[in-house]
Amino acid sequence: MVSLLILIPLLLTLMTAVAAAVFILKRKSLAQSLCVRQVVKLQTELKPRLERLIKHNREARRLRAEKQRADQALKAALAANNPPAITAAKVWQTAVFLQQTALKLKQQKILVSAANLRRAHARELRADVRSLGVMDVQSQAFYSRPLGVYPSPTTSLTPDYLPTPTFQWHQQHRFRFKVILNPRFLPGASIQQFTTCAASLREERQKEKQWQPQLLAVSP
Amino acid sequence: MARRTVTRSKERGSTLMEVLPVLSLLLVFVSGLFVGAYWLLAKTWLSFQTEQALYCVAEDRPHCRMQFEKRVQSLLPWGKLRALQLVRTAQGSKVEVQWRVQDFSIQFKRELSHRLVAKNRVLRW
Repeated sequence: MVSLLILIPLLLTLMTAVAAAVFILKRKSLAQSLCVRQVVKLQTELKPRLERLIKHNREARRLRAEKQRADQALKAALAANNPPAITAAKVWQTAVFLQQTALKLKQQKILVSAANLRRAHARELRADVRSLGVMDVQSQAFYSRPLGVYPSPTTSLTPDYLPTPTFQWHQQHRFRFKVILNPRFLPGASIQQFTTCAASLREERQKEKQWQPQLLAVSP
Repeated sequence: MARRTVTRSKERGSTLMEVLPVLSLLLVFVSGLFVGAYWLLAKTWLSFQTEQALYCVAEDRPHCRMQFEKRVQSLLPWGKLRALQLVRTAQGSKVEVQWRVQDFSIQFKRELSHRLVAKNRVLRW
């Protein structure tokens, strides 16, 4: 009977410890998986936008070349003081300008859509992790533009958008939040841990200008 | 006086005989609890570490296998890793692991693929 009395608290402690460990691990695993899911989904959805933006570069180049020709034609017409040629050149210039404006709108629409996606996924993650007692989710981008591209030339209405030299770094997105890990049956304990995850896009080796999502970091 | 002595020694022996089965039942019960607790912990720890290995391989970090083996062994001294496959795929990563203790084994197979993630079909194993 005495040995029984010693055994019961020992067994209870063991059961509590195992239950707590299982609870903490499952909670941590859930937090990580929710984070990774959102960040990988985000990059998967940014990928077609990046590819579309880069596809527009061909048209951008063509319009810049045409603008140059239209400008030269106007210059020549003005130099020759030829009113019909001046009018024709001005009409040509306007037509190119309108096409460039239309393309610029397309390019900007893609960039705005990418920015909205980053915000939307941060919102989704906040909703997903609310059940884990998470109060705030830090959502971090690493570049001023919503896609890891830069315009070239910067002075043009319709520049090419090219991946930056450190594209993977600039393209990435990172989420970070604190999770309460202690189970309810251990009210005194306060176990909190940060969960971090980040993903970006990497160019496929075999296919140029084709990208795949790449997980960069998941906190252990 | 002699009669009382005989009665006492008889009583002492019968008490021990009565307690022995109970003690052995208790021992079996407690052992079962310990084994059950170890099994539950093993399953949870292996599942967690399999996920960590999946992320490690997907991130293209070095020494994922060594790290996995070390972490598993640190908490589960009884039992051995029988099979361990960590593969990086074009879409992400795959991990397959089998852990055995005597005749019992725990097996996990996990895949992280961005195509499956996009379809909401993964990451709640």
